[in-house]
Amino acid sequence: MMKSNSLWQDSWVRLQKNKGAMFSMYFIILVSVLALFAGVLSPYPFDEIFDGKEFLSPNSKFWFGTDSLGRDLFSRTLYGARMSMAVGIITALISMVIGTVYGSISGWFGGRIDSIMMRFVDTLIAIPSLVLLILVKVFFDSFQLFESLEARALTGMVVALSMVGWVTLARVVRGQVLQVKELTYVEAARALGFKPAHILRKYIIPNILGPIIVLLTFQIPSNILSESFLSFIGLGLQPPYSSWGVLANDGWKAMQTYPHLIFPPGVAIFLTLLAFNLFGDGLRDALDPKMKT
Amino acid sequence: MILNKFLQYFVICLTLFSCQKKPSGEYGLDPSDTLRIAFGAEPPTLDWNKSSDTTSSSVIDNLMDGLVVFEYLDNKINLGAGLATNWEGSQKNTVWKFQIRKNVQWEDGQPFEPSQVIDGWQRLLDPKTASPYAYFLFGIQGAEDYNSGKIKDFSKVGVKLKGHELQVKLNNSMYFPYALTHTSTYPVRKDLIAKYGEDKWMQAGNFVGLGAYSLKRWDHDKVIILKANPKYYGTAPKTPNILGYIITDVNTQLNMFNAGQIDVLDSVPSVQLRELKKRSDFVEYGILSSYYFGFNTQIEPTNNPLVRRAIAHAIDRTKVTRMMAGGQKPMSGWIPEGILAHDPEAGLKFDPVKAKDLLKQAGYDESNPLPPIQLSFNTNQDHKRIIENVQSQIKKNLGVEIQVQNNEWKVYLGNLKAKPTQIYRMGWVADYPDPHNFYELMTSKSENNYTGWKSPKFDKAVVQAVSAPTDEQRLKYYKEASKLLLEEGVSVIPMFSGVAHKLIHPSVISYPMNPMSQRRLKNVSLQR
Repeated sequence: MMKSNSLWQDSWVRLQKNKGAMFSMYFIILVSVLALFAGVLSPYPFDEIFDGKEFLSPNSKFWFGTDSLGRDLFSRTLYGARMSMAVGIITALISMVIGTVYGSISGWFGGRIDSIMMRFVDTLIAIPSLVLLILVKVFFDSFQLFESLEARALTGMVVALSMVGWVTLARVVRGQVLQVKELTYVEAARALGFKPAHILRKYIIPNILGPIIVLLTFQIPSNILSESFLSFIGLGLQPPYSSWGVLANDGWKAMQTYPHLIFPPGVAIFLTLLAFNLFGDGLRDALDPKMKT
Repeated sequence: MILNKFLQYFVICLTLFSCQKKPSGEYGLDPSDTLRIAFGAEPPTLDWNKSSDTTSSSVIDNLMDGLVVFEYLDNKINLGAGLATNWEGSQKNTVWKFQIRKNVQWEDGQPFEPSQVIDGWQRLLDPKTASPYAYFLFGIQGAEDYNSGKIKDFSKVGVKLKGHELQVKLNNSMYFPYALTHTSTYPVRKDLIAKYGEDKWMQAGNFVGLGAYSLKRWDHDKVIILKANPKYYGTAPKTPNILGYIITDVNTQLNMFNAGQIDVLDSVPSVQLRELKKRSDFVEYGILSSYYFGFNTQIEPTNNPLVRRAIAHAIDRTKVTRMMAGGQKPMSGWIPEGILAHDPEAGLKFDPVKAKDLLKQAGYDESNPLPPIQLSFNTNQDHKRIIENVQSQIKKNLGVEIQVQNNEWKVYLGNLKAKPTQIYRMGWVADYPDPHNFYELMTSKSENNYTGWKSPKFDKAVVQAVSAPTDEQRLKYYKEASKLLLEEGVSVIPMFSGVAHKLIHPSVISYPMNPMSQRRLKNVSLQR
């Protein structure tokens, strides 16, 4: 007798066949590990200034060279990975939670509640996201919610990106819920007298998890890019903290004379975004049962 | 061949088309007699009673003249005749008489009247104007009271006009003509302000000046065009047109200079300094300025002088200037080199051991660390670099975390006036080469003193210094003032004196390079 595979196992098999997606996955894991252990792996503290060693080209002591203050660029890029990935992943998770809850309530109850909730979402979408991002960030930067300076530096950015990011997720989730709630197994659950919250949790959300995860993998790189962009226009993390966007902003200013400053953050942003997008693509194909080969 | 014929016609048409117009520069200005420069910011205002920044004054100085003007000859700064032809002090320099120039016309043909000088001063001192530079005239009898509203009648202020002689009575003896070189004391046309309104009279089209140039066009955040003023009383400017692009980004400015779109680069990106220094069109010279950090002495924990002193001792200025690599000179005293009362020994020196000790005395140590301190600066890559360096030094030498925050220039100035952070950065460029200009800045009546620090002893020493008859006596009082400001009060930490870095195209002759960063362009000529 053939062993029957679950949907997830099937998807995993399909994903493994996609070389690009697998390679991207390993790359993302590598970057995440580097980011997590940046403190241990980087040869110097990210904010240590070596006097008189400004603008050094890459050499055996400073692998990526040094920046305009004489800080090791390799350590700063590693540390930047930590900030950029943290912003990308934390905000994606926050927007996923908000978006899923909001979207499923809207989709489940339908009718007037749905109309009101979705019009609110439309309103948010109508505002150019950059304007909203800047407004929210500047507003929340004045809040001192955390003790640690590192967390304080991140707060405004994370809140701003989450506030903007959950909207698309809510829309997708609502659509999926509308579709799934008419299916027979949900009808059965309803007939058994389960409460809506229970049905949503146990029957609907597990069945729409695929599209949500795919969307998540696209949300992370777009968050990293938004963070880089905000940092690039000078609204990013405050010194001495670095993210890839901050480094790119610093590097770009000296690009004509010291091109080595722009490459590490630029290449890092490029490769990570590419990896997330390829992985997301692969995941979408793999999770779609209709694409079964 | 039809195609070939067609191509021929096409080429002919193209040639004709391109020959149709004489080649001309941007905005219809002939490049051969137009000096093209860049302004680093949109001038906040061209109302000279209200402006306080160097961008505004670099435009105003070309549109207007004061009673007295600075002349720079062989590294010496002299006073030259402007709208006043002669002046002299009497009664130990407490009374000054100015002979106002006759036969001067405004651009619109109206004659220049001596009473317009007084109109300007009245407007500057009027509390409704709220000028940041009102204190410049507080030396005049009754001026301070008029500014605070204690005197309503301007005729009680010590200025009098007899025909073309202007008489000024001062509270104390001082060298008064210096103040009259400054844009804030220039004459104004009350009729025009009344006609166009307080905030419209300085717009292009409304603006009427009497300087070497007239304001032809002012597209906000884009371009300022000046044209030689045919009614100017002095010698006509050597270059008829000035085209000033407003470009905030220095890298863009540099690209434009390299592409030949502007002739002069007034400030260069400091991160590229090491490379730019090798160029033949690069010039560098010291300016009479001070880069400093100010403390908000009214809020915790910088209201404690021990904390302020600890921080001042924890900064090694040479590390900052070495990093900048732009020739800036570290300066612990308040007065930059080149001005009387410059003292390399003044102020608090770098001393990390003492710094830690002072912090302990203030009651902070490992078990009770100082909470993070806010430091603000206006958005600019050079400031950011300096502040990151200082931030790291304070953390290393004192274990104190510095949280930085930056704002755009106009917002930043607004914040400083309302409620500054515990530490803020500022700079001061001399308005005239005298220590009084620097010390007056930190007196309790100065609108440019954001520290909240007020010391009657210091105020008194500054007045005594400016009215002392000999340099020796002045130095004695300035020493006392310096001690009060930098060692006892510690409301400011001087960092270094400034340096100007410019790129000037070889075709530009005698571009103004002076230690007070004044940009009067009338003597600039072009050899194209």
